[in-house]
Amino acid sequence: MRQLQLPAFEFTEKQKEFRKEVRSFLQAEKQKGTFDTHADSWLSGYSKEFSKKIGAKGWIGITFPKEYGGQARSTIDRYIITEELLAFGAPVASHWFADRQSGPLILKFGTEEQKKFFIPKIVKGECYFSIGLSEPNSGSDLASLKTTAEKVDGGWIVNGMKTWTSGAHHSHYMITLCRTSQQDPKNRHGGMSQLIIDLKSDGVTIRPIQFLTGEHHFNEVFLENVFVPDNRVVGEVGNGWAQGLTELAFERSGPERILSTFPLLEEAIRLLKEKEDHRGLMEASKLVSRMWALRNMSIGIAALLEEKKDVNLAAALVKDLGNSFEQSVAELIRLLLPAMPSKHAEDVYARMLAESILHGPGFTIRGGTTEILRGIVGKGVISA
Amino acid sequence: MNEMKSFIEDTVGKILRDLSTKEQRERFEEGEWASSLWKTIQESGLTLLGIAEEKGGGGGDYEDVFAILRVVGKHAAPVPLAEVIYANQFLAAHEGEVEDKLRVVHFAEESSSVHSPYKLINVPYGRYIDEVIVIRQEDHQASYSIVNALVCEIEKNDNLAAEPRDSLTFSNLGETKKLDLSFKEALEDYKKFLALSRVAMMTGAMESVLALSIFYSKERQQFGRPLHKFQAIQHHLTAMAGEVAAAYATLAVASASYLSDLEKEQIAMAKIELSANANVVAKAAHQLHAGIGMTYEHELHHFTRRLWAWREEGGNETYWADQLASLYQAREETIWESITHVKGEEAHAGSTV
Repeated sequence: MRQLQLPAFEFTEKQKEFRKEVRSFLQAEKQKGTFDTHADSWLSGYSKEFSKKIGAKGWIGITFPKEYGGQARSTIDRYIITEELLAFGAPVASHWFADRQSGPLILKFGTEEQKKFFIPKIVKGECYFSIGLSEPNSGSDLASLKTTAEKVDGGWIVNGMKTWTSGAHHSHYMITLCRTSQQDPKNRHGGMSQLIIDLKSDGVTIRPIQFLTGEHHFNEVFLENVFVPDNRVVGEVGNGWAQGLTELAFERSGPERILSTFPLLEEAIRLLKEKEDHRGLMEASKLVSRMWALRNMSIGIAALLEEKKDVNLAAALVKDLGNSFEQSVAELIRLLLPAMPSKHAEDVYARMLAESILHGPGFTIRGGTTEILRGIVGKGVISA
Repeated sequence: MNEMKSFIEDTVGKILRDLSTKEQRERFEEGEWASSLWKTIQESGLTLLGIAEEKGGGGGDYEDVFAILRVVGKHAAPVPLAEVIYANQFLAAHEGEVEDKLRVVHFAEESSSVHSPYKLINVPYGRYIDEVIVIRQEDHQASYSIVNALVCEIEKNDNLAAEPRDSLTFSNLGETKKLDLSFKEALEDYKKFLALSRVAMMTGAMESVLALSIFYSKERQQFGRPLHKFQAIQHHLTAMAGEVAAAYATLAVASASYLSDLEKEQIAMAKIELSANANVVAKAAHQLHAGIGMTYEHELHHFTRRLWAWREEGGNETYWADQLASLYQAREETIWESITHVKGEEAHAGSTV
């Protein structure tokens, strides 16, 4: 089955040098106390100062064209930055979605005015985006969404509600998928459009949804007669569903689907070495082997994406397997190094163990549940 | 993938599709050596792959060897190709020239192989081979002797897949030659080759298990629908597809590292992965096939039994995890540094400094 055959990719010397540069920077920042390592930092670690520092290095939107402030570097360079940030558990949540999804979407489908307006700010780490997809009655069945945009003179009036919106309380904008024409039962994916909503607009109300730890990452976003000017529609009216799908392979196969709990694994292995616990290291080495295998898949996909190949099936598999792996880290490690996990522990190990366990349920839900992914792959292998 | 490699893979695929059939495998299990299959493999130069032409070999490199072994696993070919390739390379390295024979190496680790009469246990295809290269420990060095297998007393035994793993007993070692390696080094070299061979063969076997499962889930109807329409079945297919994709990526990276500084660690991780996930694939496939998959008649077991057998051969998860644990303990590097092959400057990623 050719679609499952991923190539071996070897980083060039230049790319290894670049990794070293990113790592040295992060090491220095960490020693200065700019940030502490946390598990699952890409969803929960907000720091405007840190995002600006990363932006100043040119490491946000590094693949974006130079004319809009990007570096026009390869997706492999972006991959390296992403990996290092996650391995350090650095606070990258503020700019995460703008770098990963919104920027590329605007560059691919946006108008020249939109590119000139948004991209330079994204690149500087000063402009954050949220993704407005899920609704209270449209979770996995996203196509059933109800938020509407009605055409008026000069723009659109949006009414509806989005939920599980990560970081809306920090973000400036939300790319909102809404219905711009009546749902056609014969074409469930038609009639939807992507609108950039300024979250400071009149009619926008953001309310926190507390995560099970009591922390605030998710929000409900209420949209009541929110006016969105014509120039804030992304791409074609009615083509929102198809546009949204194009970046999914990046989203699903990236290192954030494998490395969310890696800082815990690294710390555990450091402790096991300190204790000279050979048996414990043996067990931990099996987790490392799994991570290595999944990383090889993920890098293989990144290499194929660079060549513009279709990798949707393999990308969905990375997310499914990677998320299970992320959850399995805490489940094995807790047996190797017993402790009382606590979010408030001074001990870094006990704190990251708590973070990894408590954030665990989210891994296999966010960005498409495991069940939805398995349906996609199951159907994909049948028709391949 | 380079063109040469894919050409060789396709060629071998064609040969095995014609000659490593279900019927051929069944006759093999009844005790009939797959002579025409083996003859074709020899005539295609596959047994001498990786050996320079001036030494009587067929050229090619190790990536080709492992690419072909994947195809061997995909067709569950009842032949000891990996073992013979290694034995031939061993002779080419130590004797200069090789005559193409059905031979394997055997490391005399068992106590029964120290004194005459020598008894070697679990010799692959022992009943069919021409000769066995016995590697023994003498003082601190390794030595080898070439023993004519045809004069040995054979006790038949087999692994879970009915591949022969026989005992050979003989009283005369014949001429013994010293190697420039310790027994441990020589054994480790073989273990790495065998482990990566099994990684390649298990990748191929997983691929066939997935293909059989896809076929069956389209063919079989229940409740008025083909099986693949059921979510529970789609989840089984996904579990298998995930491991197949992971196996491909693992094999590609590990075989590219063979004979480099990274080989030991990468082969260890690769074998742990494939061994650990062999049963993820086998179990999902059997559940999907239900009753028919448990019968001798259906060929699913030709692949699942091999997965169960091969996960133990060339070191299982415990063997390689033990090696990795020692490696971690002995070095300063963090895991992240070793995975990325880039050393940080001062303290390490993820550390608590």
